[in-house]
Amino acid sequence: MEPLKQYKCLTDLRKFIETLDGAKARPTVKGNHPTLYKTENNGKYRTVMGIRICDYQFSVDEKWILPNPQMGLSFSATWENLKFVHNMMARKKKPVDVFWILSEADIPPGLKFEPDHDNPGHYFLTATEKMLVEQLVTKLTLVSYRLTVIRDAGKIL
Amino acid sequence: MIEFERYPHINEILAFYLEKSPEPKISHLIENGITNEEEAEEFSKFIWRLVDNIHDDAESGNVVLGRTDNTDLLPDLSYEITKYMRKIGFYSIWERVSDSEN
Repeated sequence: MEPLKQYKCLTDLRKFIETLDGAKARPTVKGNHPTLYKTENNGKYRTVMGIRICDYQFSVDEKWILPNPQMGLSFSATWENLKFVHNMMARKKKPVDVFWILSEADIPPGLKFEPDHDNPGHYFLTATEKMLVEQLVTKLTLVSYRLTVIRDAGKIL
Repeated sequence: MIEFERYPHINEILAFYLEKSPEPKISHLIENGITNEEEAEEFSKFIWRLVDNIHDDAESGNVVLGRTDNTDLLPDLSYEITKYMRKIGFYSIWERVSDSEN
């Protein structure tokens, strides 16, 4: 299938995601990094080296990431799951990029997609072993290199 | 009571906007939970108004909970609402309202 670089409407995006059986997708507001967050020093979403404390299980001293099969970055494996988050982000014609990855083989050792027990079609990119926060940052950066992006042309159409 | 645990900042976002623009019916639902289809529809519509407010404040640069742009929290909001609606059996209402909003 010809990779879709831009989608002109939601129907295009839906067809594309549904065609990619097994793909995991993650939308971001245009310009944001696909796997790391901007520094946030306060709040329940504060970050440690670009990783939100609400996304992974940190050790008490916040130097280590502990394995947890139900914590990790959010990904959608179905259009049904993706559409809610995509539509929220794309509200008011805000440009949204959808990053996706086709194969688990592209995920570095120590990370694994795990289905969310509470939310069908939703997956966590989990840590499977204890690792330093710096190591997770490196792995998530590697993941970002392996993601393919579909850019939203909605705002300029 | 509706309380989100995975992304607890979503509770703060809801509380902030309900304090800024009070909606007693919605506050009542958060306090007591959703028990019927009508309430589920009302709450779903409120969530999309909330999404609009988050976008509007980000566009205007208004500070909300110490930040000028909370649009990166929308995936957390989507996650919590979808999970909650599924848990209480009103996912189809949430989906219908969401489809009609987009």
